[in-house]
Amino acid sequence: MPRPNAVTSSAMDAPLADDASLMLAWVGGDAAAFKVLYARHKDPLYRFLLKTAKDRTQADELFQETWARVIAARDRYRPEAKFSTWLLQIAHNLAIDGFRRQKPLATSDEADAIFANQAAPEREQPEQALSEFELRRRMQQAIESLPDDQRETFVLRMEYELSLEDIAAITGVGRETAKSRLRYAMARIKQWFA
Amino acid sequence: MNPNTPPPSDDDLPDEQELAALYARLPRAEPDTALDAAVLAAAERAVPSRSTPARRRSRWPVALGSAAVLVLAVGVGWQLRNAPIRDPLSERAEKLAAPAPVPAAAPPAAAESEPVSTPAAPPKLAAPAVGARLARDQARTTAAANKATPQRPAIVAQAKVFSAPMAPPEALPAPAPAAPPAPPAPPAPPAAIDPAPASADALRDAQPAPAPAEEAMYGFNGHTATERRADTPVMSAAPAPMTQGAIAAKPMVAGLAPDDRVGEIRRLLDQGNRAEALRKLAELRRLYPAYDLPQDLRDLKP
Repeated sequence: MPRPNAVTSSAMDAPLADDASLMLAWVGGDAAAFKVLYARHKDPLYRFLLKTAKDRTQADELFQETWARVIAARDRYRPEAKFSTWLLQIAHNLAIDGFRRQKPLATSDEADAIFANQAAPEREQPEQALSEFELRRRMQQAIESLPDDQRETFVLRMEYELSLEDIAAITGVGRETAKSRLRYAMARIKQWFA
Repeated sequence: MNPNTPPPSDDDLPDEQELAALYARLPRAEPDTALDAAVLAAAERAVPSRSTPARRRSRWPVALGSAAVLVLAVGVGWQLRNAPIRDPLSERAEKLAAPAPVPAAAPPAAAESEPVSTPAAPPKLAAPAVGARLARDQARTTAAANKATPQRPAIVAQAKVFSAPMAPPEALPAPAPAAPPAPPAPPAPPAAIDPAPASADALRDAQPAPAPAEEAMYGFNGHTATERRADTPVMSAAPAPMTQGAIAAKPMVAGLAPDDRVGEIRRLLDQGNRAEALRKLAELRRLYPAYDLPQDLRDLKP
C-alpha cells in the first residue's frame, strides 16, 4: 500500500514535491498544486471515512466536508506538521461529530456483546475455506463491529500505516491509549477469523 | 531469548501483518467524479489561479499612471517655460510712468479716464512720433506765416503757445535775438484761429488731429488758445519757434523793412535831423545786423 505522503503523482511536470510544498504553493495561488495534493490523498481518506462512517452517504458527506475544512483552514496550515496528519485530524473530528449525531458511541463492552451474539456461520464452519468474497465481507463486518475509537485507530493503522504517535496525534489521545485501542481492535478482528 | 533476535518494537503488535493482508483484500473504494469536481471547484473558488498575466495586469495601471503623470508634468513645464514672465509690479510702474496714449479718434470721455489695458510700448512710441509730427507741422506753419497777412502772426502765436511760454501777440514785433532752439510746438486748435483762407490752410496742415483731443493731450489746464495768448507774459528773451536762419532771412515782426528804414534815415539826414537819423541807423543795425547797409550810411559817424 503506497504511503499517502509518498510522491507518486504525475500531475506536475516539475520534480515531485512533498505535501508541504504543494500546500504552500496552492495557498500562494497555484491551483495545480492543490490538484496534485488532492489526487494524492483523496482515495485513502475516502476509504478511511467509508469504513469509519459505515455507509457511503455519510462517507461522501464527511469526505466533502473534510476538504472544505482544509480549504477554509489553508492559511493556518504550518509546514512543520505532516499534511496527512493534519488532513486526518480534520476528518477524525468530523467523523466523531457524525457518530455522536447518529447514534450513541458504542463502547468496547457493548461491541463485545454484539460480537458475541452475532451469528457467524463461517465461524461454525472453520474447516471450509473462505472464499475471497467471504473474506472481504467478514473483514468488513469485523471492522464495522469495532467501537468507533478502536475502529478509527485500526483503520488509520491499516490504511495509512501510521505510527502510534501519529495516530495519537490525530485522535487526540496519548500514545499508550492509541496502542491499547489498536491492540483491542486487532484482537476483536482476529476473532472473526478464528 | 535469542540475543540475535532484535527486540520486538513496542510499536509492533502480534498478528498485525496477517490482518493487514486481509485488510488489503478489501475493495479500494474511491470518491466518484462528482465528488471530485465538487471539491476541486470549492478549492478554485477559494484560491483563484494567479498566473503570470494577472501579475502583469496588476502592474499596468501603476505603470500607465506613472507615465501619464510624467507626460503631464513635462507638458506643463514646457508651457511655463515658453510663457512670458510677467511682473505685476513692473507693469504697473510702466503704466504710471508712460504718458497718455494718443488716440486717433478717441472721444473726449475717453481722454478723461485712465487708459484701460494700454500696453507700455505704444505710449512710448507715440511720444517720439508726435514730436516729429510737431516739428513738421511747425515748419509748415512757419512757411505759411511768412506769406500771410498780419493776421497770420496770431496763428503763429497759437503755435508758439503750445511749445513754451511765449510772448503775447503784442510783444511779437520785438523778436528775441539769438533765441535758443525751442521745442517743437503742437499744432494750434482750430477754435482759436482767425478765419483766414491762408491761415485756414496752414491750420489744416498743422492739425491733422481733432482739436479737443489734442487740447487734452497737451493739457494746458483747460485754457483755450485765446486765453493762453492773453495770459502769456511778455518775455523779451523767450525762445522763438523759428530758427536763427529764419530770423536772418525774413524777420516776422511788424514795422518797416530794412530798405524803408534806409530811406527814412536819409530823409532825416536831408532834414538835418542827424541825431534822429543816427538813432534810426543804430536801430536798423540792431534789428538787422546782417543787412548790407549802403555806403553812405556805413560811413555815417555819430
